[in-house]
Amino acid sequence: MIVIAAAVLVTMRVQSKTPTLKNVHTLVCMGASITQLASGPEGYVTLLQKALPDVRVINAGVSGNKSPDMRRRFQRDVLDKNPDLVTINVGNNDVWHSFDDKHPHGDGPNGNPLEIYRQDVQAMLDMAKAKHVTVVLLSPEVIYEDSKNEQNRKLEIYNKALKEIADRNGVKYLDLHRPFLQVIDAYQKRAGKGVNLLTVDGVHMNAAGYRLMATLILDGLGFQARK
Amino acid sequence: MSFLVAAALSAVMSTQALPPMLKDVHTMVCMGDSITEQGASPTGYVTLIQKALPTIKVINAGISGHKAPDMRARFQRDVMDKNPDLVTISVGVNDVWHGFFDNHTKGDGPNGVPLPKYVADIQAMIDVAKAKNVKVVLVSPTMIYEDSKNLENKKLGDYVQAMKELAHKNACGFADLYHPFLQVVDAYQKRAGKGVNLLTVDGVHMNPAGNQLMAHGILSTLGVRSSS
Repeated sequence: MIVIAAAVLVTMRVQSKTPTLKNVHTLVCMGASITQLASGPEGYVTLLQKALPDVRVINAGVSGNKSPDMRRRFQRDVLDKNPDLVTINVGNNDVWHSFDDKHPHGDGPNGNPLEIYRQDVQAMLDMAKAKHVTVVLLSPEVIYEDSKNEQNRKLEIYNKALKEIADRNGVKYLDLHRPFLQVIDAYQKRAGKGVNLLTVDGVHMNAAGYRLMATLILDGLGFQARK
Repeated sequence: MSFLVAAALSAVMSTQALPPMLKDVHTMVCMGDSITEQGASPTGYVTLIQKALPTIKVINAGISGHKAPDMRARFQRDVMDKNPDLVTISVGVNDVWHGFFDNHTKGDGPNGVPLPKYVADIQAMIDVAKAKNVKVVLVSPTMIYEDSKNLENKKLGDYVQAMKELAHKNACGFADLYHPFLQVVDAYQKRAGKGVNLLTVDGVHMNPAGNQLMAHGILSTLGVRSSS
């Protein structure tokens, strides 16, 4: 009797989940400061956890990280947690920091070259695949709220590379960059520039920015987050 | 001598820099409700207008909770007695919103201001200002909760339309803030869903992004191109 009830319950739970979320018990969110800060009440990791109460959601974001940093700690911070699914949000710092110390064209030494970025993402995909962990790649979002600046143009190139890697490896890629810029453009067309709408500083999210991230991720996982 | 020339040049330059609607405007009063009262904060819309128009004295005459009859009642004291050359009147949010108070889900409650009364009070303020050659810019109400389809905003749309007609009939300036607010909210919610405020702190009162949108809309109506 108890066994039948348990079996029914398990069946219901599995049915209620979308293909990407099927049999997912543990989800790790790999990323940089945007992810690290996302365990606050309004953060995207918290919003994912609220939307997926049956899934254990682990925050593996570390401020300032670029792809080599994430690759280096991927085994310890992701695979050792035995996840079924990992989201990787990487690229903002790789591009942004290349503008440090007055390198207005993004060719400074603090950035991470595109080729290394590609290799590191591929290496993380290989490690996850070997352990049968599903990967969802999350594009970097925005570097300053200006769709036309050099930072966002360079970010576009990294996004394209990320999508190519995803396609080649048959993993899911979610474009967060374009929706962010579309909302910012719709606002600035009517309000002009100068005030941040989705971020607190042009890069790190406010509540509205985190909400946008969470909805795009949940939608991408096949979970209807939009009302 | 050279001092006089310099002073004259400076005066000419500052006059030339101002658009026709702001010609000979030295004092401007912003009449309104809590949105205007809070517009005096460092990120508020009145502060942003003052920063964009440094040669004009901008006076905040917003009082929380006020509707058209309240503003009409204090229009002489809070606006005319300041001897302004131009007045902006931001009115309508409370007139509609408060009509929904105490479970009046259709907005027909006793705390609201009916549309004919709203129109009559604004017309009265326009008449008082015009009699003293004070230019009037009507600033449309913005939004009642960040949901373009709710009953509050549907009703607000009627008040915005009535204000637009008043502006046309009286040859006043008109800043439509209602449509830009709802358009930006819709563009966001199409991608992010509902539930988090984008332009306000509580669905009605502005955050810095909402204040910037207001200031930009009003300055555009005044003919000022804000830097972007």
